[in-house]
Amino acid sequence: MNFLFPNEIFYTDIITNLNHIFQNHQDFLNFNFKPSFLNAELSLPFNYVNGGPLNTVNGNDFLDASTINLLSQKNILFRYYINCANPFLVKADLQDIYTNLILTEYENGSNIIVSSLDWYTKDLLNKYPNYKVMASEDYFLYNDKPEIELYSAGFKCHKKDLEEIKKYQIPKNKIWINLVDSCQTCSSYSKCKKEEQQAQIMFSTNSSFLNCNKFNFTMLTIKQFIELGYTNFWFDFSGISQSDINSQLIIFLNTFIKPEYQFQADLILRGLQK
Amino acid sequence: MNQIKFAIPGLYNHFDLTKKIINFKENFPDAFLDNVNIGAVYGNFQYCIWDGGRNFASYNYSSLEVIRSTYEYLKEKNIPLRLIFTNTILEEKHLSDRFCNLVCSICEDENNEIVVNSPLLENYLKTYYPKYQLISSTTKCNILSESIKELDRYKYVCLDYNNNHNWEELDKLSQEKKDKIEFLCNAICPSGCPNRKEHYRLNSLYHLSFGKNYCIDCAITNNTLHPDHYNQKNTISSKEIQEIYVPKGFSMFKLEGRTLGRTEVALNIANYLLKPEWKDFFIMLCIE
Repeated sequence: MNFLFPNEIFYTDIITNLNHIFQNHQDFLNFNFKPSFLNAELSLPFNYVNGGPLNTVNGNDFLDASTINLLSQKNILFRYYINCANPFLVKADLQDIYTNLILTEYENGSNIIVSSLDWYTKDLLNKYPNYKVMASEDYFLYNDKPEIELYSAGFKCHKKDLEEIKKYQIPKNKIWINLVDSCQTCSSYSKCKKEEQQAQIMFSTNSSFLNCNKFNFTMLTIKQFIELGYTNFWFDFSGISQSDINSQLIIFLNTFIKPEYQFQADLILRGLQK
Repeated sequence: MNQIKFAIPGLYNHFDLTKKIINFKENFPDAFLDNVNIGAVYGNFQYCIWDGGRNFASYNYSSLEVIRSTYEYLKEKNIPLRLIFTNTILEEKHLSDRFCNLVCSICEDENNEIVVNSPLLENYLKTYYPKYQLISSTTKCNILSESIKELDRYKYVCLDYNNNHNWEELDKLSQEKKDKIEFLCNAICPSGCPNRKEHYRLNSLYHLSFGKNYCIDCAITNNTLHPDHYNQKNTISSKEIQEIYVPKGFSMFKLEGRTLGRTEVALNIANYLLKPEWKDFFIMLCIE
């Protein structure tokens, strides 16, 4: 099984503590999982290109080149999935200095770009041939004639979209399923996400997700998907505030840890116990 | 009495201080020297790759909402907002930068100004944001004759500080030309610094590479409050402004301070804009 963890920059401590459990407390786990590296999404502060929720970009100090350089090399434990998935990008955005700096620093042959637009993917692959690309969960919304062969790193998707994308005959081992069914079943989800992405590309702090009063996430169990033959999973933390540590922990505990070990694992994830 | 104007720092860094200064002028107009006005508030919203004059210790990206509210505040006060787009090494590919264009589009009106150095950017701004008044930057490090040639093309030309006391040439200018000259009064750089132009080039490079550090020999800067600062050949004191420059017909002055601390900015404002008896009260108000 493979897991893609949320935005590494902000969740490093939790994910690192979770990895401690993977490596040292196999008996806690719902299933065998001892990864040699962790997949982690990367949406750097104020990179308007990323297309993720605004709570990953606002109110944070800007990261300068030295910091980015340091982060890109600091830990071989992580394989980064760099979000470049704002669907409102235009050609001129290919020149964006900050994005190009990030992609240059992180191009090591193992990191991945996440994109939602075929034309953008092609241009990035021309410029940065050492990356593989993953399609974002919005991908099929924004490409009339999807060129799915561009996405050798797979396709992020929501449970609700699985039926719809069957027509593209994507192998199950290329599909990554979201385990946090938060907003996707909401009738306003598409509108809300578009507004969020449009705000992001305009450097606005007006967040649809954070202003939502209907938000309530639901965990999906891995078991139902494993039985269907899926093995790749990701966690959609859209709308979950970075400071909402309880929600973040609940998601990881319910996914990975047997009920009888959840209390002890909770302490480890919070850094209170080894 | 001839009116004079000061361009003061604090458009983004220390904008709360700028508001205090403006409110203080509204509430205590008698505290200011009789002929003194705020001619513009200058600076940049971060992070702006078209900037070039100054680097900062840290950056905090400003949002659409912050840019709008700053623009609206200064518009209401009828004080020009002055953007500093003085990167000296811009290329065509940098002109499409989304953030810089957003700033330009929000702040564009006839009252507002942009300081330029790059001809490429200047042409771009004239084409796409024609309402702005353009100002030629001191970062060009021009000799005086070159600056004088530029006077017809710009609202103001900010002189290289090495020309601040070049009376042999400055005295010859017509009043119309004098009205377009801006003096940098309190430069932190020593006069005649041979590295100045290179320093600006490296600052520009720093911005375009998002803060990769560099070293430069002899990049000496001075604290503007140090007593020696007022003995620098390029410094113009408040007394000199009132007793020499104003009588000679000059009226536009710029106070350096984008990278200075809050207290230092407040003290510079007090020194140049306020009557002596009000300085202590003003400074207390600013730093509280």
